Amino acid sequence: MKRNLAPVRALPRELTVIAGSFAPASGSLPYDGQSGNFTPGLVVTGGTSMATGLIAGDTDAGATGTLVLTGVVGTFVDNEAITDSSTGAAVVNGSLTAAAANAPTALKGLGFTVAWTSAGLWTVTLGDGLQANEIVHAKAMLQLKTGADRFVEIGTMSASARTIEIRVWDVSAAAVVDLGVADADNRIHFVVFLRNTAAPLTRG
Amino acid sequence: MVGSFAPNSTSEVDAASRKGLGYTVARTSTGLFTITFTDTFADLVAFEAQLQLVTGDDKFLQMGTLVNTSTPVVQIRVWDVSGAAVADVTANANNRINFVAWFRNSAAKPTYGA
Repeated sequence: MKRNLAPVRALPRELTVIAGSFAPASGSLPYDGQSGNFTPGLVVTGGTSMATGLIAGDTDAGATGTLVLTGVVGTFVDNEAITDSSTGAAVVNGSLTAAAANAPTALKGLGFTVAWTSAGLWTVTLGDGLQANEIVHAKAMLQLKTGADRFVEIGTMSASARTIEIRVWDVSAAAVVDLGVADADNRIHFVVFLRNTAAPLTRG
Repeated sequence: MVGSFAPNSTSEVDAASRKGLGYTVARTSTGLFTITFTDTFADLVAFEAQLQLVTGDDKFLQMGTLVNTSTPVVQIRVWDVSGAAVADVTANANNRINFVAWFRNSAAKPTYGA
């Protein structure tokens, strides 16, 4: 079925499916010695480590500041030069640290927003434009670059508020946990089937 | 894209065990399987997989690395909780890995409603 996802026309008219994924955490990379401003949306690269990350935000205080990165590949090292493909140029001042409270980034799919709610818990909010008033089915899956004893669970769902909570459970820690520093292969995937109970049934 | 296949213990997945079309699957290493989609897509938006076991066990699936090119390659690992490691799955007709991959096929923006 090679069509866009919402609505999936092969489904009965009263059903809508929202499929999406997001990178659940970002990392903060402090810098100093800035000689050119960074541009959100570009990739920053470490001159020594060759680590890369997508610039999701920049708290710029002049010579110093902090980049919010997602999809980080590799390990930035202290005091290495970092540049983006435009004017951005500075020197790493420390190391990348997890910043779970930063908004999830690198969303794929349409019809939803997502926010970090608390440690290991994210809330997906479906779009207002959906003609649906019942959540029929929701499923989520954890993608991790490196295997770990973690999985995702669906938490509280509200059809009226169009919200779905997704939590990451760490088995050995017996607790919900954040995923730490973002990586392109650390993502949460989900699919939600919604029903518009006012729509006529078309099966049969 | 939907499909399922039967892990074959420490051996390669039997291609005949595959259900669904448009993909191949290989056992990459212990408890790690690589699905390669043979059709072309603009983007993999979401992915789900569910472990089917004839006998209950403390295993679950995780998605691993994704090579999101026009013919995406997805890794699925089987995590064994008590073993705290990836693990193979014993060959059985009712030991399967079921998956659904949701792709975007164009830049056209979907619309809601009937």
